[in-house]
Amino acid sequence: MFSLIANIASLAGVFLTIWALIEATGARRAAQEAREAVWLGNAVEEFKSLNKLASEFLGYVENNQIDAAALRARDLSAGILTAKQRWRRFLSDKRIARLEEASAQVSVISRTLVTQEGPSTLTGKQRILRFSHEVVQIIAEEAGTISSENDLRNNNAG
Amino acid sequence: MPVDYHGLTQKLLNKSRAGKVGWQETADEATFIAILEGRFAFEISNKRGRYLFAMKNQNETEIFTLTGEEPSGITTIENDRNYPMLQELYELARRTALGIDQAVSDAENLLDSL
Repeated sequence: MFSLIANIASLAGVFLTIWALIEATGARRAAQEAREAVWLGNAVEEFKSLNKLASEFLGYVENNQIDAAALRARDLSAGILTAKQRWRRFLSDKRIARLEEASAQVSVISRTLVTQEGPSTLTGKQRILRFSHEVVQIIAEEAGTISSENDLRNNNAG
Repeated sequence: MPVDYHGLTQKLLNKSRAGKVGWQETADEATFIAILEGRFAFEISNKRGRYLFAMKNQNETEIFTLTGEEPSGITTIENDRNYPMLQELYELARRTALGIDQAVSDAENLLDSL
């Protein structure tokens, strides 16, 4: 009789342990998901700021404000670099490559602006504008994509 | 043992010959860039006949640069070694980025149809 009670207690112990493990795993997963959601929200904000910076940069280029454009280009380049490294977990290799491309393009634009003290010909200005637009487009697309991913995650969670 | 930058550049040249490197135009019409899997960036420019080639890592830090100008009595051995390679690399980058082969072929077809 005593042995039967001991066996039942032992079995109950095993079940309780399994149940506690399942609960702990679930809690860990929930905590991780909550952290991921916060990080993704932060990434969205950072890409929004980057998008704003890119628009400002384009505005300065369009208005021929060379010094301000060159300064913004440096900020933008540093911002892309930071965002790319910090939020790598949310970005595919293809998206990293696109940001790398934008960064390289900004670097050339910046040098062209500084060394030539602004484009001397209309064709030169149009060329810089064209590539500045391309950079802004890449940043805007990335900001949009990460924002929609965040919305989707929030909808699924809610 | 010194790092073989020349060898790496030669490999990039070979891959460019095979059409496997996605060279792109930039805001400077004499500068072309290629991004390798989002990890490395290559940049080649032609500044009045002087070729400048740079490799950067994903932090935008320059890993190495090579330069080459037309060999003459005063240029270095290294320059004279780099020059033909960088000249060909620049021409290939330009051809790829501007889609010159396709453009020439399209123009020929249009002329044939006249």
